[in-house]
Amino acid sequence: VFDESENGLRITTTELGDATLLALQGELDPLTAPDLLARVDDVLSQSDTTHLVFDVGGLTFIDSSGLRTLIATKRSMLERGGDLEIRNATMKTRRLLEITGLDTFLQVTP
Amino acid sequence: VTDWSTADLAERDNGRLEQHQVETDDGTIVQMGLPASPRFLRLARLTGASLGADLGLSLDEIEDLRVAVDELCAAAIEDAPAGSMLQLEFRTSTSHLALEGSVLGTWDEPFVLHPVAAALLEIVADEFSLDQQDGRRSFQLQAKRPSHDANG
Repeated sequence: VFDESENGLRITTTELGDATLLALQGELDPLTAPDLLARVDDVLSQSDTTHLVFDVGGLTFIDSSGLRTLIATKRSMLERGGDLEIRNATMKTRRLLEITGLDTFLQVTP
Repeated sequence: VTDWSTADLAERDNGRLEQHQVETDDGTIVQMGLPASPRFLRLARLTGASLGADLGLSLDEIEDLRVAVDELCAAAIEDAPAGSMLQLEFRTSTSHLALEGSVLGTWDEPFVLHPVAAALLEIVADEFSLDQQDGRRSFQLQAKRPSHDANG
């Protein structure tokens, strides 16, 4: 488990066999989106994981910069033959995913 | 985790925080000056949400307002020169909340929204507009009070 808290977004990383879980707590906005991208880069450079899971149940705010981070991560995972799963989205987060049509691009699970 | 105070952060970003609040006959005017840095978007969102609550917006409407304020402020400060300030003026009346924002700077790029931001704003904002001229980026936003509450 690796726990990182900075700029208002706490990222807890857990290895789950073939999958890596990143639990996000706090706000995902233009300040913190680069932190998440950096953490994803670290994970992908240090492991062969092909299944990345973002547990977004702890997000209290997400904007377009956060949504773009989800898109960029999804694309990175597809390039390495894997996938990104978005888990535990709150009603607020789910609504933004639906508004932007990203719920059909991203794998969103309860 | 470094525990920065807001004033520390403003000083670190070569800026300063300014806020003035005036009560009028039918609402409130809040003027804010924030360093044009993503670090201060939270303050803009918080102010918008607080005034939206005073206006009687529902929780969903307040959440939409938070997103709208964030998206417009974030777009305005993108690539802003170091030391520049984001000036905001929130005005509430009995029927709506209006926000005007501006940043002075030298811009290489036009003031446009990323398509994802534009898609969000089309849904969460009642009305908004962007402008850039003479080294000044500006935007306007309006959130209307629900009609069933407009008289009470």
